[in-house]
Amino acid sequence: MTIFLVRRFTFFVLSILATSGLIFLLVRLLGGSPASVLLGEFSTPEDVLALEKQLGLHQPLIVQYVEWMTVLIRGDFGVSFYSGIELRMLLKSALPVSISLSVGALLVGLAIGVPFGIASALRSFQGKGSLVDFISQIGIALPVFWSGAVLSIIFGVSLGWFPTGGWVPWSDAPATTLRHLVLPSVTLGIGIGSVLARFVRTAIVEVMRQDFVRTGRAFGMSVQQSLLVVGLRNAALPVVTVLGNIVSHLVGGTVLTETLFSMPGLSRMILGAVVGRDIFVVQNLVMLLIVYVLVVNLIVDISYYILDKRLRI
Amino acid sequence: MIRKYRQTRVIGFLAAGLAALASIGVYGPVQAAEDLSKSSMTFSIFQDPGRLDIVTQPATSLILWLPGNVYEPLVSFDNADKPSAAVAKSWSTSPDGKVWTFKIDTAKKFSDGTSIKASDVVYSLNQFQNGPILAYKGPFANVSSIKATKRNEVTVTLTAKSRSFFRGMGTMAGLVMPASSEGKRNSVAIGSGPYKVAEYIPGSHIQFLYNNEYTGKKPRITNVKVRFITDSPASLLALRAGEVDGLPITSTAIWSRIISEGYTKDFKRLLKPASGELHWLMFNQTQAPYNNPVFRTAIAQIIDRDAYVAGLGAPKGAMVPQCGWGIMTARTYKPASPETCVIDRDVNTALASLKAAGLDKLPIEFVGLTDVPALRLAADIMTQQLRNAGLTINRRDIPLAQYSSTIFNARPPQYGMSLMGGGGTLTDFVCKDPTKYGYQTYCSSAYTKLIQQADRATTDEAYLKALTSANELLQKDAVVVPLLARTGLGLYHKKLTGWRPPTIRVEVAFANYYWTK
Repeated sequence: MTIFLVRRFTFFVLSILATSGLIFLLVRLLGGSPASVLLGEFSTPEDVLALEKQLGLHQPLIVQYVEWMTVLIRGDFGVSFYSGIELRMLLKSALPVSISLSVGALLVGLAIGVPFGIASALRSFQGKGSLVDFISQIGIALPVFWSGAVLSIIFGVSLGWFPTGGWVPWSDAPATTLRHLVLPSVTLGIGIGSVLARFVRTAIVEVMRQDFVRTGRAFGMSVQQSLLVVGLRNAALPVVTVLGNIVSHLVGGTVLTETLFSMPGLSRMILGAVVGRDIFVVQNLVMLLIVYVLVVNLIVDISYYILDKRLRI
Repeated sequence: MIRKYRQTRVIGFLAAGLAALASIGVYGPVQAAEDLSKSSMTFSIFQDPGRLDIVTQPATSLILWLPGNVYEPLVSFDNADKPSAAVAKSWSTSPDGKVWTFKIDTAKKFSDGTSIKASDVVYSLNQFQNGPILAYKGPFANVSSIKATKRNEVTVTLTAKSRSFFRGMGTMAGLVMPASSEGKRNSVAIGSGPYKVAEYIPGSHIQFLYNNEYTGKKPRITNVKVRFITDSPASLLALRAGEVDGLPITSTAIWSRIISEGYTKDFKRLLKPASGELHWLMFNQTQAPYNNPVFRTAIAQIIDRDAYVAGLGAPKGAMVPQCGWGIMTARTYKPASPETCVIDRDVNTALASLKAAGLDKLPIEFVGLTDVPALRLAADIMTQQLRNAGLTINRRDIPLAQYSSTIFNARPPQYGMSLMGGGGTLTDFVCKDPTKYGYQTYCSSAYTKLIQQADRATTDEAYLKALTSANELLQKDAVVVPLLARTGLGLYHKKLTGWRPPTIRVEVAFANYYWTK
């Protein structure tokens, strides 16, 4: 276990170094000086030079890179060129929103995907088609902006159960925060659940065809018993991998949801920075996302190691 | 039997899910009930200003909320231009009109509890005088010094008598803030107005609370939230759901929905809610072919203003096509009508003149805005009209923040042609130093001279004459191409009333609002 963890952690650190170097170079090599990108194409050379000096861009690349990594490690994400507000302050308010939305959507996705996937697998195992398959197809095809708007109209405007948008920090009123989270989480979770249901179904069907399940059935286990005793645990392996991918891609998926429900989250912040060509903010936020994805992958790998005993032989 | 059992289980799952949703939902009605109390209201706007510094951020989404609510000007002016005390309790001027003395009301305090001192006023005026926004510098054109002559007295010396200086002290350029706000204003706004900013969460909202230090009459509504709902249709849903009480400004992009979905019946519709404004085309007059009056005139002749207004789906009376040249100002602008239109729409003549000047094949570099839906839709319509006429348009849309920081803030213009919205004034086009041109790039010495003459005029007749001549010069050179005059459309809860026309710029003054039974 220790060797595995050391090896995996070394790979994690190397991945961070490699990707950070790549991002750093891309920002500087594409489209000329970052200062001229920030100031716009008609800016004067004097303006560009002054900004380059202000941002430390006149220093050698290696010095710039080391300085960038040093401040990042210290948790200093710099200042937005356009808003003049410290990125750390913006992240402090945006991160809880995005994390809450991601966790909420994931929970909804699991609540939909796992039971529906199992139900679908059981029917499939009996050689029958399933309504669940049809519903999950629709769930995958539903655009977030449409399902979000429909949910807002039904549960927000008509029934008045949940707010149609906005955000209240957890520290202010947790119950209100929860209510603000419901519609966006369900909106985003429908797609996740639909995808997950199909993977759970496939994984269970695959496992249930294995010899060890067949042996169990031969010893008198029912379909349900064999599913509970051996099926679910073994089917969890591919599902964990998919779940890891879903979590990694969740930030991208929250852009529309955050916009639709006026949530001040990370995705809207990144989108604003990209559209605004606030390139150092983009650079730092992308780095943050890469660390997030690598951490998720690390957790998935460790989970895999724990779940699959064969890896420990 | 087994099948029925499984069906029951599926139904059970669904029921459990719905019950879970409902258990959270029935916790209580959505915030609407609370917002309908007598002392609070929630507005929404489709744009987040990004930062709160009024000295460097000219976005309408900011100057709607801070002036008039958080900040007070040095002198207040009503809609008839009659001055009254604000931060200055009295003022006087020397016989030659070159020295102004303001007595500061030291009983007034900023929302942080500190008293307003003359040094704060000097600091504030210096901020706007030396700041990056050209429009705010205008009133200081003839100012040679601003000094705190006593603890409660500020003396401003001018090089020449200036009408616009004193009037300007009632606008953005005259807003007063503490010197201690230096370096903090992006996220903090401290003034002496009836409200203070209790919280600003970028991408979410600004929370205003009554400023206990305010010396004026206490407003009836003491708690105001302004939410940023970037998705305009979502803002309509929020209004319908009772989560917001008013949309003081609505994007033209959703006007057709407002009408077709019955919002004008279910809510109080208010034309001219805040920022009656023009749409006009701006040209970069330092670049060919935009610096050529022939080109500009031809563009003006090609555009079908009626179709432009119709395409925006405006409710009746909310937008009026403009075919007169020049800039809408209070005293010299004459509303255009089909009878008085001086720009005859004539596509063939326009194309012929472009061809004769060798300008018909040049691509037009157009810069639009990505995050102002109203102007984006307007740009869609306008650029399509030009394309239909056979012109080549290279369109590039950038966000407002970038547009503002690189165009408004005295940087060289970054476009060939651009669609603008706002209440421009004649003084915006004054260009004393051609090397420091901003987004209004009309650096005509004759024009600047006329505006200076107007500013120094001793009689109303001389003032109006100079302004009229300046406006004629704008027309002759086809500096701007007006497209429409917009009166604006606001939607409010039927029981929320009290909107009044802005006096500082386009501000929505919360203190005027109140709930009715």
